[in-house]
Amino acid sequence: MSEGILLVDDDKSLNELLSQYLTSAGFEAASVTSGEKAISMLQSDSNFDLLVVDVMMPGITGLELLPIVQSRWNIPVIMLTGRGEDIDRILGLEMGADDYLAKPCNPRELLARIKAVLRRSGEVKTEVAASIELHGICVDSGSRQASIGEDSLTLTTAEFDVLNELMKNAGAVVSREDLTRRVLHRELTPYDRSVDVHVSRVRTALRKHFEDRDLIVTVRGVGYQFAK
Amino acid sequence: MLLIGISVLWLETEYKSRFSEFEVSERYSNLANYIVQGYELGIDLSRNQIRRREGSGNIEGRNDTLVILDVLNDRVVYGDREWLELQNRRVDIMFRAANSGNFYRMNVAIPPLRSPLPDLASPMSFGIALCTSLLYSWFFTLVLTRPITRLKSHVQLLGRGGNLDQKLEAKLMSRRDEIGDLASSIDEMSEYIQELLNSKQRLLFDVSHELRAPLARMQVAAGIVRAEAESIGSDISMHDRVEHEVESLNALISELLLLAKTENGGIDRQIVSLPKELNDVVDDMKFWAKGRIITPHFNIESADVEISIQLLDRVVKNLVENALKYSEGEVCVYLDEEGSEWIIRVEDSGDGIPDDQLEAMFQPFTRLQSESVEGFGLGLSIAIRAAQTVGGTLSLENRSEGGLRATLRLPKN
Repeated sequence: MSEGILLVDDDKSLNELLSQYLTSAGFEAASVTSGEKAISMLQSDSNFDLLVVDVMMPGITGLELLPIVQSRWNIPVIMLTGRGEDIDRILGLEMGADDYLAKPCNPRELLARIKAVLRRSGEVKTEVAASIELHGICVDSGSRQASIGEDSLTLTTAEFDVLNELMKNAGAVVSREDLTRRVLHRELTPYDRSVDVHVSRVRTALRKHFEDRDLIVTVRGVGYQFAK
Repeated sequence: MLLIGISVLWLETEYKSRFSEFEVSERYSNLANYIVQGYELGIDLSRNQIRRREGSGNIEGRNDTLVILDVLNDRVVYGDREWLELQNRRVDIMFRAANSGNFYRMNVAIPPLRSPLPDLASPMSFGIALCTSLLYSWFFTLVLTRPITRLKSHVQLLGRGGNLDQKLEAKLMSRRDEIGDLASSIDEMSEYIQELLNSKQRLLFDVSHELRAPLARMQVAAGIVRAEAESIGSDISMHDRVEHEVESLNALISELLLLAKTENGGIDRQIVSLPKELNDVVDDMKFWAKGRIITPHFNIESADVEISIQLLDRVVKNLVENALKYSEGEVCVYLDEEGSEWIIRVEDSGDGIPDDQLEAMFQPFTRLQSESVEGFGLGLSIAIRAAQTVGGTLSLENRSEGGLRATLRLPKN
């Protein structure tokens, strides 16, 4: 059975074209033109494997739709942001989407990202159970739960993978390229900040428990390192 | 004003020396003899008579300028002695009456009306003159020079592309004189210019924004056709070409949108630590320009500035990118402070830019003639506008050692 993708964008013609493109690539694509319609669509049929959401929409924006989708349906989301304009603002907002792509984008790039995100969520089910514990943080890749003592950390799939990957290599520097490849299952492209957004989100989650120190260190020009 | 004071004093001295004792005795001796004659004969000469005589004697003096004393009897023959004593400059001449040979004294106050200038004999009056002139100059400064200076700086600000929304001071506008008129005219003019600029920016923004949607659709449509061509195994090189050109248009539209936004100043500002941001930019650039050497030389450790991170990033990246594009060797990024400004310099060792083209580089769509380098020629236009929105400047110069130096100056506050 092919995977279902819901496109949420206020440009109807673009939706139609993208649906056609994704359908020819073997997906089942549906589209809606607003955040409100996306919610009612999901309420009647939550059988989608992935959402592609435009940030800028009248009514409920992509930023507002994202947490609703994540909390109610737990479906991975790729956010489309205005090219070159909003990526830094989004970095600041740390939305928690599974991937970010500047719009307008090459449809092949979008297709590659969709496949990468789906591959990751597919892998989740087949992953070998293993758990790592460091600084009191416990990461269980079987149950995909991260916790500190009694408190469990609320992380998205990508964020969990970032933490898992960095902790597996604690003490070593993981380059942005490697992290993108292993976590997002794709190559790092110029001006691609997705992986930085995920790292930043994980940091924020950890900071609640480790106020005095940053366990994740940025190594200038290279990547990130988890403190041993 | 001081010069006027000095020349007044000089003229006064001139006048005083000309009006010598000799001259006084010459001018008044006839009149004095006439009065003394009458006095000795016991004739009480009427004032009018004397005045007539005085007038006929061509003495342009006041009635009371002359006082004659009978020395022997110590009596006032003519005039008001007390008044005379109040005069600070007078001539005192002893003379003998022609008939009796008795001694008389003739006192003449040097008539102030003879002088074309106020009496400034004493240092005190000079002081007063000086004060008056200072008062005048202060008054002129207050009434004329200062408002004109304010107008001038306002117009200069507008000329440098400053904020046209900024109103002239109400004090200037409410004046009912010519300066007030001028101020209102300047205000109307800047409103008009602002309106023109606004509509230009709106147009630029709207057009760029509206171009995006059809372009996004075109990109997907091209993708569909390409995928079809690929599936039947036909040549896709032209499809790739279409994709490339669409990408290029996309990038251009993004630049235009950013330019329009920058001109509007409609970008959020926050407190940014310059050394940190510059380091991030240098790291990013090192990452993408593999094999090139980009060296930061930061001479200050903390430097905060209120600016949009996005714009600052964009500007510095653009300067470094240009340096990388147009030179082969090392690129240096400096951070210094100078007075009330932070100075960011980006230096390369390329060919530089011909001096007569340096200014033109800030105009949109201006590029160096170079076939190998991609770009739209918008980077520096955006950069200089970004600098200006925070009250900074951006300049280019050729280094004497060779290569180009771009200097970005940002005010500390």
